[in-house]
Amino acid sequence: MDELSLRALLERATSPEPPLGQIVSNSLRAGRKLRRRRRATSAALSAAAVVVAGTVPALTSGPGHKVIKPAPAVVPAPPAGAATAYVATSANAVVPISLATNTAGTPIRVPGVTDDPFVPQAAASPSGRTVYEIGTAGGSPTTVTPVDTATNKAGPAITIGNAEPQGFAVAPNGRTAYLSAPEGLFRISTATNTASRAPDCRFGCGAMAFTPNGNALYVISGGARGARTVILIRTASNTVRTSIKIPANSPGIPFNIGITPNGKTAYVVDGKFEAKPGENSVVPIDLATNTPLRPIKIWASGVAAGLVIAPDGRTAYVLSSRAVTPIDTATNQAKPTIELPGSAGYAYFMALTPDGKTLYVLTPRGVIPIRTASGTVLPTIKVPKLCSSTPIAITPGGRTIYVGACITRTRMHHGHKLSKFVGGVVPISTATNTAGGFINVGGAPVAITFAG
Amino acid sequence: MTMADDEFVQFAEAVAPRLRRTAFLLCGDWHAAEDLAQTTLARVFASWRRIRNRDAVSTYAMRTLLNTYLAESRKKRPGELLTDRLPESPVDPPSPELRMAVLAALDLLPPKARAVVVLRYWADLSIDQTAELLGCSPGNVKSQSARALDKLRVLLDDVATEPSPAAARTHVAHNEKKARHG
Repeated sequence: MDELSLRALLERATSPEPPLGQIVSNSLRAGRKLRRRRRATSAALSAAAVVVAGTVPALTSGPGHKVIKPAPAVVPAPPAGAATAYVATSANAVVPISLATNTAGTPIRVPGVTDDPFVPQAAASPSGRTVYEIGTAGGSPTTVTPVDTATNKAGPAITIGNAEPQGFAVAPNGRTAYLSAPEGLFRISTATNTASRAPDCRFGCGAMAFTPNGNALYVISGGARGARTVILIRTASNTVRTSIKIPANSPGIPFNIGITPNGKTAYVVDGKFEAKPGENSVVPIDLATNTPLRPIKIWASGVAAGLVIAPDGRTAYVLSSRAVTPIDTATNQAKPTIELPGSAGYAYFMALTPDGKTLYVLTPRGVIPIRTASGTVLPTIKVPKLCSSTPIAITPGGRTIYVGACITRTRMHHGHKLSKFVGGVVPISTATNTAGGFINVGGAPVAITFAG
Repeated sequence: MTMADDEFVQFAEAVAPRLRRTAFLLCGDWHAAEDLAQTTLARVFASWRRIRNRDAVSTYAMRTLLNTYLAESRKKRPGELLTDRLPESPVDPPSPELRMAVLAALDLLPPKARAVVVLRYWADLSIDQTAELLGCSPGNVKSQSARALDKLRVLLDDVATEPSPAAARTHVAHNEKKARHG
């Protein structure tokens, strides 16, 4: 019996198949119950953690459960003169790392960092003077804590309230920041460090992007059956100017949005779960008229969600599970798909060098460099003990990439094996494409940003 | 329904049939498969806001399904009892039916080996993907799948030529004895 005939046997074993019951609606009901129960437990746990933290450090420093990696969000270019990497860790701290010496400084205590790298956790202001840490730890209301990068001290936390953040963006002029969540849109005045409700997205707010001049914020609203619109908010008046409907011939879920540096076009990644080739698309929006253009089909299978736009604005890169699709922004046509090596596993994050020449794609097996001009996939850079869910970030000068690494150290104690989790980051030189030494940050790394 | 609920429903409708079929090959019973798929989707929904904007959410669902199945198989060893006695009906259905034979053979595999077979040879996952889902090394997947295939070869060898499910069942039970006693 060979593999093919085994497959045929298994195939035949599943037929005839009885009609599908009410799985979806039942699971929705059961899932709601489960979520309520988890919330109650997590609130109780976080109350208990106040008492036991300190005596049982392992409780707060573990990498947590294995989770699926996030799609890369559109990250605005970090401040050019940044000299420090700020790493948010699950040990409720932001750890500064000097870019010059690759040494970690004293951890800055901040509230509410979860070990969940799927929610936005940290962002730097364009001037690099402030790093905002977004706290979402279970049970307590979401907070945003400003960290002054001149003194490396955390200011008082700004309470946002009940919100599970999907996006966080600081305006190019640094005066306001917006936090988007299914519960609504929140605006933070950075002068007074106060939060207020911004106009509602009606169906919940997802990814968002500022225009380069900061006058407008484009926010994705609505899910699969919701409005599927992009809302344009005038930042000066904090009002909705218009809403742009994403064409119905592009039937996915708008996961991500990015705006070209010249401010002329926005690209909305319309991904579909379990997508076959051609089922994902990217919808360009002409920002002069705020009208959607013809959707661009993505020929890679798997859900497309990641988006990076080159600094020169000529190419937008869309990341599906196992492939990258470059899009020519002049013609709005997809270029040939760049497939990742078959053994790479799912790709979750990517970072583009500031010169736009090399795209680094993070996979469970390491970091894969791609020469953007030729689409050549270079050998994978092995990173020892790459975390199962980790951020990837490239320094403003483009010389170093930082990725999270998770190490378990064991020692014998009275005949018992004791394991201790140590989280950190590993620098990768973009000149040699080699990984450097592990930098301990004390907890699981969940976000990396550059400032100072 | 909120945006998150809408997205979940779209996702669940897309994956539910495949999840249930995989679950069926894992547990060998359509009712239990439906329960497994439902529990899996409920767990995915409970974490939906955390995972929905991510890539590979269907892999997350598959891993949840496997974890649920392996956790339940640790609690008890379900499945039908195999017997080498002939069933009551002496009349075989006219068309050969392998379903029972394949399921009976799968039932004899340890839960993790069964998951490896279903993932590798039914869901068409690579060794690396299977290892990632099961949280073990690729080497472990290779050895598990080699052992499972050997066992299935003995159990299902020339079962394709067997005329009926009854005979196939008997055949598997007979081969199982052969496998046990060398």
